[in-house]
Amino acid sequence: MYSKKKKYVTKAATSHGQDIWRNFRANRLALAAAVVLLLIIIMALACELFIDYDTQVVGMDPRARLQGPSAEHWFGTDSAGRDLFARVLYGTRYSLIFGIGCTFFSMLLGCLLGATAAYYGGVYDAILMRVLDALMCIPYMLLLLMIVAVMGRGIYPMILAITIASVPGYTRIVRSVVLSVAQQDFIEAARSCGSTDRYIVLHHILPNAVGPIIVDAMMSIASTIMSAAGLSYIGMGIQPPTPEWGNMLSDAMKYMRTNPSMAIFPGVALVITALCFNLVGDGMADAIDPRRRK
Amino acid sequence: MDDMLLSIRDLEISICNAGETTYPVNRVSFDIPPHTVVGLVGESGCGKSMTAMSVMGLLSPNISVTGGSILFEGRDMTRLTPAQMRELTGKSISMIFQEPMTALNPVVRVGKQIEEVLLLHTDLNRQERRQKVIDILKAVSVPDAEERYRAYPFQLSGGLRQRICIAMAMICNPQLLIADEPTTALDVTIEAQILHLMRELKDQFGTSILMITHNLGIVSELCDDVNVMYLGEIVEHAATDRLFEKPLHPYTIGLIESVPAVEKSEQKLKNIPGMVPDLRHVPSGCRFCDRCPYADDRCRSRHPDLYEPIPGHEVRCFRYQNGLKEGD
Repeated sequence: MYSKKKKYVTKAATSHGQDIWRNFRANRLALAAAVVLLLIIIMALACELFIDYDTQVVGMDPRARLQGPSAEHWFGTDSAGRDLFARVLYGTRYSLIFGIGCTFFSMLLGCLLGATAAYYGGVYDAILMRVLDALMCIPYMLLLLMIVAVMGRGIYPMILAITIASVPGYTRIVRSVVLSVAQQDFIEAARSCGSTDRYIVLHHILPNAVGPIIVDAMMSIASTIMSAAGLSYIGMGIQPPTPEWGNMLSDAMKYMRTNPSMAIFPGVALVITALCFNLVGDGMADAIDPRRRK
Repeated sequence: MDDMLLSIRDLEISICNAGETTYPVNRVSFDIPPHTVVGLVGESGCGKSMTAMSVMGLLSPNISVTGGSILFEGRDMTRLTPAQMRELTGKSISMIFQEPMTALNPVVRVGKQIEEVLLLHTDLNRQERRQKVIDILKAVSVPDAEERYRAYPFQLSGGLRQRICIAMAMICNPQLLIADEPTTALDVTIEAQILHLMRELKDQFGTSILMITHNLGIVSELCDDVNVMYLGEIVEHAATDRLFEKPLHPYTIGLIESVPAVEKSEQKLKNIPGMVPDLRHVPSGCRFCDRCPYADDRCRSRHPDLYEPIPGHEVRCFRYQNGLKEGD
């Protein structure tokens, strides 16, 4: 690799992104999870094309209630005679909206707060972090319930609630990552070129912090999906007949003994989706951080 | 003094640490004339880097300039606002760092990083900037400049990275380049190349260089003028030829003697006994007295001034208080 002719090049010219992709690809499990995740997302986007929402998802058919899986109803039917396959498929949309949407918004807010806190420090940092500490003292689920109780039920209050409840955690992560990047020599070098603070934060610190932050976001999508389902399960989230995995599971509770497929399919869908996000997040962490590579 | 590019006068820097204040730089004065290379030499922890950082305005929040002035073309840099400082640094004064491995942002292409300086200090458009970056890459002898423009720092060797750092520092034709041990992290062959390059650039662009180093070989090769620092003070200042020919201060003599010489085959290297004292326990008299073979009671009780036994050659030692002695 190190020949006299090519004295200056020690590595084939690949970009940072290509390098990460090559490492991610090497992790078979994460790659499989990514493929499954991609299928789930495509299904969630495309389900309208072959399932009619009004008749198949929320339209009741008392004659067909509580059936097991069959050729006609792949996952069976629920207590109102609705096709479970269609409902589980549509439910994916809500889980993904909560998982990705809430994570995106709370990450955005967390980046803003964390980066400014780390960079400016001082009183601003101290006050902000104490407020967030106070917020973190309240158990996650209780905080969600509290916000939902104030804001009312429905999809937007839920997104808001989960976003607010997740911001303190992200802010802390972003703050610590930014602090560690800000101590590195190239930040000092950039400052010696006459760069402004804003430029340094946007062009030097955040691009270097983005790896660990994205990994963390990936991992937390899974837990966000779980907490959204949890809220719906206890009746504080998405209301039936809208198909959401949490409220479907709550419905299924009464029929666990007689008709377990009602609980199994939404439950399995929830577990698979959460697991895939976790595996992909883990794979990305390995790929991005050279020290974690095997 | 008006014709000096940079003139540091009685610079005092203090560190506040857990209620304790120490002075890593103590009443340091030296000048850098235009188109010259001035060396700042000393052991680790003697305040050389701190002095450089204070010129660039890069001191950490708990470290501050508490006295003296740094005059750049007659303007006192210690009194500039951060905006004025940003205007100056990168354009008129720039710096290269010790560690080329970490002085570049790992996720930004090197061409873009050099371009950043132009973005900050000039009104050139994208094409002009790109052309200028490629020109400067060629000037610092980076092979395949167009291709390297798109490379990431981790794809380059240490010597190439230092060339990139130099390109970044030189792109606005600064009047002063501060080089903080620019070759310490490089091996000897690359070091020679980098020094050669710096000398070329100095001749080509007329830039003055403040060379901070502990390597006397670099000083003798590159510098016109040398300041020797010990424990936050300048202990000797002279033209390079003069200093190597006739070092006066016992510390400088020790430094020069501890350089291994190729032609002499002595078994054991000479060294200066003892260690640099802790900044919190600075000797009350001459700061070097604990390690000095000539130290007497006067050295231990009183602090020597800078004496000038020969015009242009200053030394902080009582032995030269009344000019040169016979035999010296």
